[in-house]
Amino acid sequence: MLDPTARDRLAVLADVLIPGSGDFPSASAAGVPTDLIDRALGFRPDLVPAFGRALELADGLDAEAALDLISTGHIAEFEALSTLVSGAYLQSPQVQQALNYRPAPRQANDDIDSYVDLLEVVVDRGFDIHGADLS
Amino acid sequence: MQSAVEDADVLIVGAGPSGAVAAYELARRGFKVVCLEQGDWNLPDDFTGDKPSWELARLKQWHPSPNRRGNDADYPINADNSPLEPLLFNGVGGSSILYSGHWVRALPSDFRVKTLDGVAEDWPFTYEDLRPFYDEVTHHIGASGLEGDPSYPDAHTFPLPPLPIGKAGLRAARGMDKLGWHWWPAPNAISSRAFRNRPACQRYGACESGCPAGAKASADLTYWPDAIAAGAVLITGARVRTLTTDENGLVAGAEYVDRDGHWHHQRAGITILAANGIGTPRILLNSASSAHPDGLANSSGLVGKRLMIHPYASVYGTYDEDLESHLGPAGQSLQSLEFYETDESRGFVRGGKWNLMPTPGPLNRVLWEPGTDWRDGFGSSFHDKLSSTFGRTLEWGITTEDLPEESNEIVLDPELTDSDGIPAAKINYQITENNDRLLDFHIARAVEAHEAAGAVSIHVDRVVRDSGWHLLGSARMGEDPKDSVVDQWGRSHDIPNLFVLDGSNFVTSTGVNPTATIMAIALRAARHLADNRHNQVSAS
Repeated sequence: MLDPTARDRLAVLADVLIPGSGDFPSASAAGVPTDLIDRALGFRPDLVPAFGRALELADGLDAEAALDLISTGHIAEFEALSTLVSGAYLQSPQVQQALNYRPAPRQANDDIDSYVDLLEVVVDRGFDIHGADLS
Repeated sequence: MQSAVEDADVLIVGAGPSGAVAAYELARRGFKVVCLEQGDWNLPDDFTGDKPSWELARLKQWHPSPNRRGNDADYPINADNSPLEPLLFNGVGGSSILYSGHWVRALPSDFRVKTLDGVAEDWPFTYEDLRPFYDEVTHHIGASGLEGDPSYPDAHTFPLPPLPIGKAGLRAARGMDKLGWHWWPAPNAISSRAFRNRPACQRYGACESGCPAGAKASADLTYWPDAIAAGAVLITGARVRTLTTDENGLVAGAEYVDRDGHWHHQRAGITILAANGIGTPRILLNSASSAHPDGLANSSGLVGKRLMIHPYASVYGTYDEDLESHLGPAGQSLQSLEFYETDESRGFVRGGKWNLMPTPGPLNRVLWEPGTDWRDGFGSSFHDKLSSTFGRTLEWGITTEDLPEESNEIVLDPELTDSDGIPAAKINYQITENNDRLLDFHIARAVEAHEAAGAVSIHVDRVVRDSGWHLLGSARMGEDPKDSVVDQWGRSHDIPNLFVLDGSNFVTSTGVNPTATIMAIALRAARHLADNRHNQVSAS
């Protein structure tokens, strides 16, 4: 569980990584530094140590400078930070709606009628089959 | 150490596709079959494709690389000396748990590359010999596809109609039509309608992290229920260290360790290795003894040699409309064999198979690539990148034929072991010059295919590191014991009661996804064994 200081630090970093734009909320407006990051960390407990180190590396630095530092010298930490922040962000229903993302399930409806005319051309063209015993 | 089943006729090591086929065929023919599998059963609800955790979990817990996943059932593989990461799964169903279900037959020319193209060796049987077994397995597992593909000499059938190609497939098909190139609605080992114990695909696009609907034809759902009903005994959590031999030089069974660390010996009259192109040579090499200093069944010196992995290229096209390309199956919607056969004017022999695949999940669109400036994909770039690619990006994936080279090999790592202290495998593998030229040609054509379909941007991943699904050729079959490990029935030339029925036995790699061929070969071999059981040598 992140303490309030870590959440504040995460909010600053996350909003630089994912600012608001149009219908898309910023990371903190979507809830990343609160419940969504907790959920993401629960899905990937293996990333908790590297994520924690990334937040520690950002201590006392301007957000952009911190992200430059982590991404250039601490690859595992930046991968953990960026993957968890974006993975958490994309959990937000508001974000999924802005993205017009309607995840499955969907029915696997037959759509042969949509391409059967194109397929006739493929059949008519034929194929040069090598090595077959056509007897 | 005692056997779990005292009087087993046949021991099978590995519960993947080939082990499952063999178990069913032999059990239904009256053999007492025992299978040792180091992994466990996985139920559809174990998979995360229908859950919020999916996109994060598939990067770790359900990653296809055992090195990345690191489950208790996994064994590490040293791939430092390979541009391709080996991908496999340890569990009932084997790697079919995580495969994408491309259900593709090899072509006739694949079995005659020496005769036709002057390279490698011909197989000891032909496409025509294997065809009835392709047919039987295809109908047993419930594959989906459309009859009549002109790139095959026979209009082979499928028990289920093809899966939808969707907006994305139609867009790509129109591009191929402009160029006059072959394409076909792709065959998949995924149910388009309910089939036996499986429901229809629900289009999660999560095939490569385990089907949450249970629609994919993984061997745990297709053959194992039938094999168990026929009397086969499947022991999970059983990791084989070595095969043992008797005073007659026959294989007597296998030593294995269970999850509690207890060692056992399973005796059997006949032993079948079905542990994949890495696991099988690893066991044979680990079974070295004073009588077999180079490993079992290795008088040819080819155990572990001639590894083929199919270098794979991804050519992504991004389009200016929402094509719902996040929807499954993944799975393939189209396939093309336009450039499959040899055309020497291209500067290389053999070819490759193309598959059109979706790009499921938004997270994959925005993952950071180490070494790049974070501002390229985050900050003010984030939303543009996400919105312009998600649902709009298609992949033409290219499986390229990998010709055998003895220098591409599986060896035992001198230091690395699994969690039970058993020496691990190391891959020494390099892409051949022929394959380099093949890759360049095919990638250029795939770029043209996207351009013809109207892509607004194209991204090429020339050799995808995480693509080493097809582990082939490391215990090849052939007629001559001097240059092959097993005969056309998978039987060891050296040890007549030892068989290899996984993709290790491939002579050449073909240029297609191998599971249909692996299972057809396994069925052919198991049936031959059953038909000729009275002539079969067994350990007492």
